Amino acid sequence: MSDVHDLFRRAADYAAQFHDTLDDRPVGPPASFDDLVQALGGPLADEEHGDADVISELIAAAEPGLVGSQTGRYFGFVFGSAMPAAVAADWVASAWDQNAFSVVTSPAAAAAEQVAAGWLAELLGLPDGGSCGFVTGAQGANTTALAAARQHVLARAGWDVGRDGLHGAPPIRVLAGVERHVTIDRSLRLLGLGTGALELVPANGQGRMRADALRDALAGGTGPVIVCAQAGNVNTGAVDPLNEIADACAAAGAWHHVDGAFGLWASASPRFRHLTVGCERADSWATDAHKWLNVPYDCGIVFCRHPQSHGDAMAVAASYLQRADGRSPSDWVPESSRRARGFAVWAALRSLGRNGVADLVDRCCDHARAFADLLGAEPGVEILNDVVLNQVLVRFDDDDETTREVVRRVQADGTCWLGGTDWQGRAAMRISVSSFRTTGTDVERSVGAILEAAAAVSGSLR
Amino acid sequence: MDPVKDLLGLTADYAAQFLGSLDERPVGASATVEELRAALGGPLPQHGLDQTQVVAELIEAAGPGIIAIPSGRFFGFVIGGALPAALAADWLTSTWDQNSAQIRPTPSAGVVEEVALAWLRELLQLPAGVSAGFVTGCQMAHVTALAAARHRILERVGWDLARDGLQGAPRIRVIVGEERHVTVDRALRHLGIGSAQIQSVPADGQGRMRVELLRDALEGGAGPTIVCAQVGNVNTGSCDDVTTIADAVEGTDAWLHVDGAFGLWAAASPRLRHLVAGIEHADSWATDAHKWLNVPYDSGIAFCADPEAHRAAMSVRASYLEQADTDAARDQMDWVPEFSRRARGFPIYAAIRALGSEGITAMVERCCGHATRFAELLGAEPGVEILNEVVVNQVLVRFGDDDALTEATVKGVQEDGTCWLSGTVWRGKAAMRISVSNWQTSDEDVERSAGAILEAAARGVGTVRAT
Repeated sequence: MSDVHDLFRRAADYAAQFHDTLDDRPVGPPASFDDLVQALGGPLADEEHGDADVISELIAAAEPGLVGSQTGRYFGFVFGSAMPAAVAADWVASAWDQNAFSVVTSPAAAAAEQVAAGWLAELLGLPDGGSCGFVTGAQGANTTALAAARQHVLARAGWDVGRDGLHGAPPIRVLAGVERHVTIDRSLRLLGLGTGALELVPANGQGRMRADALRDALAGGTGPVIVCAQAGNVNTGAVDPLNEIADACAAAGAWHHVDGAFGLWASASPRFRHLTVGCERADSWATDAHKWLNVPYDCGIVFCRHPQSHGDAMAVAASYLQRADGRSPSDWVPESSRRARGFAVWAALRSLGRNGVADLVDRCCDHARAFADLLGAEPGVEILNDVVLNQVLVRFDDDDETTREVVRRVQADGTCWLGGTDWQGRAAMRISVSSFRTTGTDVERSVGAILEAAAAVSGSLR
Repeated sequence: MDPVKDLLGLTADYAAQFLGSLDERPVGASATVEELRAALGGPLPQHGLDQTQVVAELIEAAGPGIIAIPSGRFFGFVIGGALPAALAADWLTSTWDQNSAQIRPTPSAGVVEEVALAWLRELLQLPAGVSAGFVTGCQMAHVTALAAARHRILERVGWDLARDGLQGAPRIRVIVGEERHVTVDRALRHLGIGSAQIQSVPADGQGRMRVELLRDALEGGAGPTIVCAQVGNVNTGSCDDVTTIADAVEGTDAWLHVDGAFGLWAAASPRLRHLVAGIEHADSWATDAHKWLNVPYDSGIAFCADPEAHRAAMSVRASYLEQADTDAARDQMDWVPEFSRRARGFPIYAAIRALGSEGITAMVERCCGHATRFAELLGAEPGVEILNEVVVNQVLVRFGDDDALTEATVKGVQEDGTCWLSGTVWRGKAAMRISVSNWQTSDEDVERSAGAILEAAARGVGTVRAT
């Protein structure tokens, strides 16, 4: 066996062993920050160091500072895990080391992305004939989609933003729900639009944008306008009324963008598809593959109904229309040289099939429902949201401090990991189920740990 | 047998076999995009498939369209390979699947970036106290650095960019060299700065910005200004005279950005460092790790001498993130346009750890030595002209002083498969472009490739005459 083969075998054995021990590992990182700096740091070495030693040292030093987002009991943020087939495909992508810039730099990477894009559009119920780019995540997807929107609404107003920039351009109004995700604000800022361009539309108690308020807001102004709707509020999982929003956008001639980092995946399930009805009418969509599709970090996807505007906003020298060789992966993303993200997505979709994706979505939502039922049955525990998808907000003793302390104790206990949030002015525990690995047993064990933590701090639960 | 162990073991075996076969297999792809689409495509599958079979199918279907980028005889673009330690660390990155947005939720991913930042700063001889963001590549490093620039120069004239955007802001002008890389223009467009706002300064025959004309440009206009210098022209490898550029910028309120996708790595070599003298005076720098550091795709780095502007241009707060106190810890997302993202620090860490500073110096110098050797071997042949001064790792070659023959030779080399390289147009003349940036390129690779190139040129003479 060659040295390289030996190194790769060791990495594979370690990865398999890591995978096998997930169930027994604490979900939170046990090491302190200072310990990690100590273990990983030190001066830049002069001499070379054996590859196998580098990898063993990296594992020894970094492992205590890993979070168990690969376990079935990680419920923080909306992280997702990584399915073995997708991990292996991602390894192959690294070994091939393809640069997914164009069909010249990697025909295979370009073809895999195109096939995966077609499958994804079908799975998510998006229209044919659109364009699709593979980016780092929903942040990059929102930025890309909104850059296409900027291009499109300004071109309609007779302004060439590629040539003249935004300086002196007609003002663009951006309407978004008050409970939109912060990535929207951040994308606007990067694109030079400024958060002052943002007009916030009131939301209901679940964080859903109010379509009547949107109609009023649209009527209250003129000029180029972009509406950002949301499928899957990061706290409650609520989906905006996309059909009514599409009606309002159509009437006002607005660009309709949907931020569906995880919520767009409801479309892949016959049971949950009703939540996203109307989303196919939008102009652009942003979602993540590293969340609910469970491919390794990082991978997000942007879809656009208007390839011309999408390409004009992104392609190198806007020359994509002149190309004879068809789709170039870099025409649809802000990146130039980049990783071949399509391989892992292809493998995840091939491994699950349409039924498997629907089942993954259903299972996570059922687990969220079980969390709500089990926790909500306890006195002093309140579920703050309608559990429509995979998100659960829990409050203890109707008290901010108690709730925050329960979250801290659960994190310290290590059975599972979850975070806290403020939901419409009240502290809450936030549970997000988005791993293919989560089982009924994981939910029960975690509920037990949460209730134990609660009993230790809460008067009514004691 | 544990199915996951089985799957990952087979993947490791395949990867070793693939990399071991590079010496024998043709460097170019053997399938067309249409064939690949057919092999990979078909309707969205209804049912799932065993994971081992999925990966086997992927390898079988995509394999013929894989360009042997990791090969020591891949000289196209400026791409670089992947050091074994970096590749293995990249596998760990996928396996661990950490979301490197914030340091508290994923501490190892955050700490490893801090360590890599300190090491890179020292290697590339950048000033103490610079901030860094780990991004997908030099394109996004430009976006990040130029966003920091945009923030700072507008703040200096009292404009709140984050709130008020660019529409009513004072007009920004960006001064670049005529031969800058296209990613600079693309980054500016992304940021809402149009091509009409870009003022191009003529370059010399090697592609270096003519600094005396930069002075004229600076004096000939006013308002918030960004100057983009370049170390490592994508064709010739030439580096702008950053010392003199920095002198010209000093005393103005302009921001100086340096595009050093690969050229910045000259700083890691005492022998080549003179080429990038003066870079320490810049305000921001963009470079790639997936090129000359030879980590797998994708990985780039934005450095900034103005951490306050850098962070102000990138960071965001949200209640569910439970962010650390701003000054107490370095949250990775505060320095990049991304939010959730891959833990890019691990492979960089492993590459630097495996090579050490001496190994990195040796790699950079070795690649430049190979480029010089290419120029010697090819330039010695009658009718073959080397168009550039070979200062780093780039060589431009022209055959028979003829566009058609040069293009035919490039095509002939691509078809032959001994090595891979591409063509370009340099100052109006077609040229073959050789870039040496792979850690494992050997003398023998250079000899074999030079032989294949000269054979293709000889064949090309026949073809071009016949047409």
